[in-house]
Amino acid sequence: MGLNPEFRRNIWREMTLHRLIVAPLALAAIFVLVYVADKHRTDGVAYMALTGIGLLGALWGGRLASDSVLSEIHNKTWDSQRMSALSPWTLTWGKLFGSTLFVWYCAVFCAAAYGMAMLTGDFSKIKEPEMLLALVLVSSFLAQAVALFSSLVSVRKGGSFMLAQEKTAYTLLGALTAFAVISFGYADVNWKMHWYSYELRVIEFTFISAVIFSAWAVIGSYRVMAEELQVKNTFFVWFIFNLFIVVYVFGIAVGAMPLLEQDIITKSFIAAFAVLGVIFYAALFSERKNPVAFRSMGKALKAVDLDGLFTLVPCWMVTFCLIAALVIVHSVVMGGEKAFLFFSGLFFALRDTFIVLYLNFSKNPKRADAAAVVYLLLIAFVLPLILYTAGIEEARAFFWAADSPYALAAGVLEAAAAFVLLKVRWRKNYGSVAAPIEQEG
Amino acid sequence: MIEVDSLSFEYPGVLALDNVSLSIEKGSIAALVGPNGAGKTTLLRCMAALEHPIAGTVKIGGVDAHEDPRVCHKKIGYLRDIFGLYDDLSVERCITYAAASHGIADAALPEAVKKAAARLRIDNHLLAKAGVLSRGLRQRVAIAQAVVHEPAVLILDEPASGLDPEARHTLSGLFLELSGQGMTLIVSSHILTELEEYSTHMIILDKGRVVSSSGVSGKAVGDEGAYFTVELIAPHAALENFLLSVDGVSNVSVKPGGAVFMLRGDASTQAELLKRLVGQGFGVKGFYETRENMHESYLKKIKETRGGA
Repeated sequence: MGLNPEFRRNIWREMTLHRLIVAPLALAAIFVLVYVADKHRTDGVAYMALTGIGLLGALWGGRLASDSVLSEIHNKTWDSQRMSALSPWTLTWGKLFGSTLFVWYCAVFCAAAYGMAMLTGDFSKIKEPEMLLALVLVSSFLAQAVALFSSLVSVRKGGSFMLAQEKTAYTLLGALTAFAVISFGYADVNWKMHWYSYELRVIEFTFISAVIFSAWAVIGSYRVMAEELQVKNTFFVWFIFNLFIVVYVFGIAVGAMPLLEQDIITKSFIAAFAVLGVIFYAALFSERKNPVAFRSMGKALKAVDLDGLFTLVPCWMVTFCLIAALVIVHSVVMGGEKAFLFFSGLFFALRDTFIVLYLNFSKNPKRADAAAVVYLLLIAFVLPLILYTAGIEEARAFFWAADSPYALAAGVLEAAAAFVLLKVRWRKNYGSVAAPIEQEG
Repeated sequence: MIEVDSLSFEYPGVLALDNVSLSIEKGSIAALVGPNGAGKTTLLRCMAALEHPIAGTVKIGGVDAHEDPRVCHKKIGYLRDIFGLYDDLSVERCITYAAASHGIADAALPEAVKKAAARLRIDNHLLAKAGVLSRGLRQRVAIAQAVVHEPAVLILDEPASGLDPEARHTLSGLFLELSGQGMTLIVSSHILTELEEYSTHMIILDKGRVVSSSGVSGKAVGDEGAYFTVELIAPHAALENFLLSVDGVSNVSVKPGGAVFMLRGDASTQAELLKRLVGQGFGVKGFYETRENMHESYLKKIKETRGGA
């Protein structure tokens, strides 16, 4: 079996002889400069090497990973790749590792400089140099995987395409994630935490989390790539990811509270709901809301075609159903504790969903998601703030989830109103298959 | 080789393909023509298993394109209307990548690249960067990429747009060559005179529907009949009745100085009819198969469809 063609293409593109020679020389020159400027101490070299890996890996690597997908669209070569015999996995790892190979080549020299500095210098400031290096390396990979995943999601969503802006956005998304993770590497090494009842050092937990989330980002990239290559996907992997998030966040929340703390379960549920809520809204806005696919989903539902249904159901719907199921479970288990809060939150989320769909199901849905963000911000923040400043504090219950029957009633009414609007628009615009083209060609 | 059955495709609010059915035989070159917005590109993309229809099926060599898209992709070469190349790679590497990504083993890559380059007459440009090539050469590299894995079906969307007349002529020759080697081609184009050079079939699409699917010389698909013209030295009143009395003759249309009619049968049937015409004293000065001009045929069909709509 030969080398992955996509990986090889990236080697041709990235690993030119000129670059292979110049990169180590340039890096060596920088490290010598830092060494000399730092009065022949190696601290500066070590920090510079770590910073180099972080910047190269997370920023430049993220940009290259994002570019490996977005430039295919921009250069009109994406259809050729979609038509190839390459499997989604071959294409995913060929892009992820191939496009960033030169960055890792440079990182090897940085890591070598870091290692040499560690061996020859006094490093009381860096308590665990190996762990810090490992964290920076895995964070860089996480940044690249996140950048690749978000670029693929953007391609899958379609619509207007702005190469430079999108590339920058997804690079920053990956890099910010990486830098957030790396920041824990500089925390006190003795800082400990609990995940459920397991006691771990924060740096260890951060490292393990970064490894796991890198794996999820790669799995996510693979799934979206498979969809692009017309390979049928079901929602089960997304569902497992959601369950993982619940278990992960629940563990942090439970671990952070004393065991005898009152409401420990409810508070942990609130933490899990908050994170699932973020995932729900991220999925709602990043997925394509094609009315034709929704109609096909309706047909599959009516025909009890489970294969079709499981393929067509959007991720945000899966997350919403999971949240709803957890709310019901919590309500039953905890005897209705904070039930108004959770159920009102659920109905407000439903209202938001209907508004987003309402805008997307217009006849000209350009920038529908951007418009939806504006409307939702108005409803969730600006309007309540106006009422608050006008002295009507109680009105908050009409816009935000709260442990009050008024909030629940408001949520139900607003969701119902949004649903009616959505239904009318759906029937008018997309209730049936479009009529054949009648205009002159 | 290609069977499209009741295919419908909908963009939100627009039914781009409306119950399209057609059949394309192995080794033929089908010209897909129609006005802008007729659904040609959408149909080609559905055939290439790049888009998922709301109803109907596409079968490529018996494989359902939407059930097994990846299997179909191995059988198909596709060149879209606006295509791109990896500009920073050499032509050789571009074609090598295309070959490898279609599953050709490493050991067989140099030979496959050599063959594709020779076919497209770009062997002298293998070391040039794709980004510096002329429009015509880029087109040839793109086609070389599409055929390097020897697909059974080659789908080309506006392959000649932007090419000069000489390059177009070369392309026509290449299509005939590929067809001669057993490849089935579907070519979408607006340039009907050029399609006429190599197409064996013409499929007219209008408003998402197939208006006509026929041989370019007027043959109905799967029909052995062909149109013939008989020219007489002087008009003869009995010509129409005589022709209608002959077995295998239909659609007789008498014109000044002769008639056009459809005749079913082989060359000996044609010779027999000619012999009988001469024997009956019709004063035949010409007898030949009528090749309807593709452009005229296209306009006629479109006019008929719209007039009847």
